[in-house]
Amino acid sequence: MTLMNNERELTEQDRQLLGKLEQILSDDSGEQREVDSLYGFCAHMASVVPQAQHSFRQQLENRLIVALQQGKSPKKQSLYRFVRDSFMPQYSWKRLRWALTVCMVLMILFGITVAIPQTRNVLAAWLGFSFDQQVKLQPLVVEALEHDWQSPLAQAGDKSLNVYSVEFPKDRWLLIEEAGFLTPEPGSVVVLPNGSYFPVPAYLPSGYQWQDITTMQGNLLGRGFPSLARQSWAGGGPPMPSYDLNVNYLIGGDSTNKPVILAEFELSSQQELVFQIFHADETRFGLVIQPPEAKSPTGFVFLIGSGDLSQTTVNMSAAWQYRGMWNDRGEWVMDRGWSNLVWEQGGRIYHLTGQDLSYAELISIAASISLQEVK
Amino acid sequence: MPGDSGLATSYMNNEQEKALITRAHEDPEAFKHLYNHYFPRLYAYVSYRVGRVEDTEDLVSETFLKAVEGIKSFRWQHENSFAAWLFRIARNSISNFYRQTERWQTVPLDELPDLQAHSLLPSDLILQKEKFERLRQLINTLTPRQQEIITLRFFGGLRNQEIAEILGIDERTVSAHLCRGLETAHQRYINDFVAAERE
Repeated sequence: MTLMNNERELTEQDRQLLGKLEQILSDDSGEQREVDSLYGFCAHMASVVPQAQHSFRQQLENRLIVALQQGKSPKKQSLYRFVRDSFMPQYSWKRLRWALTVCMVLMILFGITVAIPQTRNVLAAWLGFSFDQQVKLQPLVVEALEHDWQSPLAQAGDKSLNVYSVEFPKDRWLLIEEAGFLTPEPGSVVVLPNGSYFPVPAYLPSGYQWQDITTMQGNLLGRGFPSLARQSWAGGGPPMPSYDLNVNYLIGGDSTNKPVILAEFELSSQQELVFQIFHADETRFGLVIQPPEAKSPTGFVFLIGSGDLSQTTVNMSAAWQYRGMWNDRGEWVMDRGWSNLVWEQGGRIYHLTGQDLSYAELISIAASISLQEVK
Repeated sequence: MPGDSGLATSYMNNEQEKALITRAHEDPEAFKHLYNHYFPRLYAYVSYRVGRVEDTEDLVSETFLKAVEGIKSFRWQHENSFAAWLFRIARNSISNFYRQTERWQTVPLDELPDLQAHSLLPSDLILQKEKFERLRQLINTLTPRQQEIITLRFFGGLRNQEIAEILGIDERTVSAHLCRGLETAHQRYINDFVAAERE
């Protein structure tokens, strides 16, 4: 029997204690009991209850009511303005016709954009990322996958490149249960080692929990010899331009270790490099950074197979969804239940991926990231 | 009835609570009812987690202000989902608080909150504060998960099912942690305080 099972084991004595607790916690008599017994100790603990000063309680109530009323009034005003501006008799028809025309033009443009794959990618690139659909993952990453990330990339030749990678443990649930780690709270904001904020999505499907955050930061060149940087290796070649990159991975899952992973990518400024993002072999995530080929896009490029890339929305903004991930041989697999969602929010690019999660669930998770915190 | 735990909360059934939540963002009176219902439990829970009255007041205020901001988008899902939501906000605020301050501190008696007491004698009030700090110290010796579960159960007045929802674990695990935590705390209480007093 595993440790986790032992921790969940309830004895007859436990059941009696739980039943007695109900009774103790319902008893408001303040009766003193002997603390020598476990029940007496519980009753003693339940009787030592802090209470607020009346003045604080009253002041907070007043403050909350004011906050509630302030939160209400701007919406009333804007509704009033909308009604006044839209339906005043002397302007109504002209304004309405103008608004309808603008809406129709926007819808047509949006429709064209969504319908044509090339323009879809143009829209994504405008938002700071694009997709590169390939049949097979590039050889240098496949080699790294085959050699468990340890191999120097000898065949990279004179091509400049840096590679970052992380691999998550597969049996995370047991690790966390055994160690009793604190885990990222849904809806909280985590302050990362570099002082930046990471907003943890408030929503998770039932049975899931956020488990850990891993960060990859930096400019490899700024740390000296590139291959010394943690979780990365250098591909050699001539020196590359300097870059400043932050990548954070929020890892979650359920008790069967089905993962859900939110990756956040941020560049501090526009840099003339390609940051190719990949997800392989279930728990391996990484980036290949290199100068662009002639006429190829710069910025974040998601390396995906020839799949069902389609457009959707997150928080009313454009987002892209597709199914699949790379296996350890660099082939795109779509039969393992991986769904992906990519979008831009507050100047950062997000990639949310999960196994056996629907697009609707991914979108719900994405929509629960606080927009305010991202800024 | 769950949630009483020696805490002066007003009675409210599910339908009443649901109706109040629906109206709360536009009806201050509805919000006041919810506030008065949950305030004592939330205050007691936060007090046990942070100790100092000043920090408790800050965190309780922050929790309710966030609740005001979010109540319009809150969706009733089942019995006690509002309690779970509110205490989750409080727990997040406490986690953020501890990221910025020392993990745990002993708090001088004059900086501790007042305790519900059946006697108004000053000596009894001091005694109560000492008991509170002693229990707080005791709870702090438990594992983080046991600390969370015991304070949510005893002072937040939440059922095991609601605690499971907040912590993202199953109810059985909550029950097991609760029993183990109480047994450990009791044993330590006997060893550290009762035996010492008898000597």
